[in-house]
Amino acid sequence: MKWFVDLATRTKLFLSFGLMIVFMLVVIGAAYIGLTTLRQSQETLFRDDFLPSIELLKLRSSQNRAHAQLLEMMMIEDRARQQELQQDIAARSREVDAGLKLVAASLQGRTRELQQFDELVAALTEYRKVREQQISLIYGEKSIEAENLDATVQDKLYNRVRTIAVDLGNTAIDQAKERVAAANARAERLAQIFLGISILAFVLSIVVALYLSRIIANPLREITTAAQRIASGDLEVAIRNNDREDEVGNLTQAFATMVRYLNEMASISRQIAGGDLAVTVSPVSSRDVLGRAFADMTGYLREMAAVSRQVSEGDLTVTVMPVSDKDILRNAFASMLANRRRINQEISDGVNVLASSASEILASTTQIAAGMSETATSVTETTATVEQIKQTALLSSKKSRGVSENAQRSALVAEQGKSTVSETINGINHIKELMETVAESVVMLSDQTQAIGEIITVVTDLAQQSNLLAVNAAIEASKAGEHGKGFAVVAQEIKSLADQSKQATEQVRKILGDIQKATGKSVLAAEQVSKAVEGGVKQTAESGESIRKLAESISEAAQAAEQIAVSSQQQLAGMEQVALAMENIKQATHQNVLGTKQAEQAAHTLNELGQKLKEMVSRFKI
Amino acid sequence: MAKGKFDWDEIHRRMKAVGDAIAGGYASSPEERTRVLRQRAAGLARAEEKEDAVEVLEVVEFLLAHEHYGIESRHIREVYPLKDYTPLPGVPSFVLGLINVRGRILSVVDIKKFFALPAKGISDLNKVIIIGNETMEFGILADAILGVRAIAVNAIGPPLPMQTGIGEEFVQGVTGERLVILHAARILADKKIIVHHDV
Repeated sequence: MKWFVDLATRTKLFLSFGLMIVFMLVVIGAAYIGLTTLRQSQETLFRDDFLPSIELLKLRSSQNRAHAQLLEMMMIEDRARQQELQQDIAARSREVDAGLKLVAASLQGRTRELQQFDELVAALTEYRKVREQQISLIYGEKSIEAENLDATVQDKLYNRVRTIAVDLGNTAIDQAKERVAAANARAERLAQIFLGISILAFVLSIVVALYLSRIIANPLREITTAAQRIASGDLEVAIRNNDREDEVGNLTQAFATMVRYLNEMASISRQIAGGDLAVTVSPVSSRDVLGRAFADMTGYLREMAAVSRQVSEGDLTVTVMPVSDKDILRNAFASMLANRRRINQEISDGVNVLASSASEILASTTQIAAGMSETATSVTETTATVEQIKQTALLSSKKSRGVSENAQRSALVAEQGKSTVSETINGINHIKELMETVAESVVMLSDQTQAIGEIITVVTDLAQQSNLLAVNAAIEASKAGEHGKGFAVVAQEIKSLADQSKQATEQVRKILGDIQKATGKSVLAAEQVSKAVEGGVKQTAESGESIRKLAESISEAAQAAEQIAVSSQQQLAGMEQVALAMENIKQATHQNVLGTKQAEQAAHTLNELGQKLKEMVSRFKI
Repeated sequence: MAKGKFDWDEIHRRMKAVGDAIAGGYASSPEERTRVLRQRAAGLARAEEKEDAVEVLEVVEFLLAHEHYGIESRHIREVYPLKDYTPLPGVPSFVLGLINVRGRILSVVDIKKFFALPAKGISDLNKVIIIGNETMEFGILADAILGVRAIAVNAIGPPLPMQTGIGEEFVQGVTGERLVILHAARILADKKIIVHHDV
């Protein structure tokens, strides 16, 4: 196929489309031949088979009708009608004769059918002869005889004609069926041939189209893809080199050359990008714009590299002259050098400051490290304290729980105390009533004592009068002299009695005084008791009130203790959290200590670095 | 009552005893009666012995401002309780007033004031000793009449001048028991006691 590939594209397309046109012509020819054959076979079928069978059917029909009309003639008496029927029968006979001619023409060349046809014609002729006899009989008013003749002879002849006609018709129909089958088979074969040729033409067309596509479109698509990748900067494209001599082959070779050139430029760029300025670029031709540009660029970069090297060696005295305002690199170098000179000066100053600062930082860091150690110690102490507080909180929680229980018991006791106080008040009131009764009795006693006193006063008076009487009697007795001696004794005795009465009354008075004093004391005591009882009632009521308040206070205390217990619980939880936090702080402080030591180390390093930097900055030539 | 234990049984017992005693009308027991009688007999028996031995002076002993005084009973008409007296205007202060003794009107003299004795303590002054002779009769105030005593004459000593404050002429003598025996006849005869004033 190499020769085809090497053909010009126009020639390839021409050849391919020509092949397809040839296939189309073949298909059209085959279709035409098939259609003509079918038409001929249909004509033969109609002429040789369908026509005689139709004519035979018509013949039978006419024959039947004629026979029926004959039978009708026998039945009726009307002459006119009979004649009308006879003419009709004659017309049917003419139709039958015309049909027979057509059948005879179609049966040309077929001996067996022709023989049957002859028998038919002979039977028909016989039948017609008998019919003529019958008609003449009918006209001769001899219908009965005609009927008899019909029953004996004519019926057989009629059946014979019918049988033969049916046979011939069946034969014709069978033959027609065979012919139709044959024609169908032929048409089927033609259709198959036509289909086969069509499929062949279709497949060949597709094959040609695919082949053309492969050898023209595919290479073009590949190159297009490669061109797109190159356009997006991807030079890693592989162009398959083929030795085709058509337009596609030329395009591929030119593309490969371009890719090679671009790759070369790209590798040079990569070297330059990698810092390799030793690369040499030689332009391919005088119009190689890219090559010359590369050569200029490498030269420019080498100059800049030389400047950079001088700068890197510490020589800041080098000068760079920009060619234009757009010469960014030279401008940048120039400003960089200026900046470097300035910055170097500033760095020098800064390094001095840095060195002194580093020393200060070192000192501060040392102090911080010491402080951190102290903090760590304090944190440890705080942690211990927090643990103690936690224990205290636990203890207070337990205690407050106990206090709460005690307070509840106390509330119960206070309740009992309240009822006891109420009973006590009742008892004291009873005591008061009794005491009042006692006081009344004592007062009554006092009154009676007074009555006794009055009586005693009377008795005393009597005694005094008796005494005086005795004295007077004694005086009178002494005046009587010797005769009054006995009377004097009596008077003395009376005086003695009076004295005794007086003494007795004195004693009674004294006893009454004692009784009065005792009564007064009793009344006073009863009054004091009554007052004391009243005070007792009041105090007891106050005690009841106090106990009630105490019960309330205790209840509140119980609630408070409960709350304290809850609070202590929460406090305990809080203290545990604090302990945890303190533990964390401890760890953090420990880490801080470590960190500070590292910072101290770093400050040392920083100090040394400052010294080094000072040395380094002093090495620059400005 | 303040003491926790109080012996109510004892109280009941004592109350019952008192009730019984009152119901029995304080009838003293026979032993008690015998004892009292014996005591009295003993007292009487002693008095009898003294009298027979020496010459005695019968005096009525009375108390005045806590001092014991005595007046010979032969000068005394009677003693009388001072019940109602009528103060008399226009008389010296030693005259208390007038009393009515069974129809006789007598003046009552306070001899303390009469003798200008210092008032010593409070005195009852509810007794009157009526003294008198043929010409004079008046009452002397006394706190109490102690009774009639028989005093042996030899037991009476001379009065000590400054002892009583009463004028020497009015004191008959003083016994060892500091009983001042007043000289009633001289008091009755004293001119000072007669009040004679023109008003």
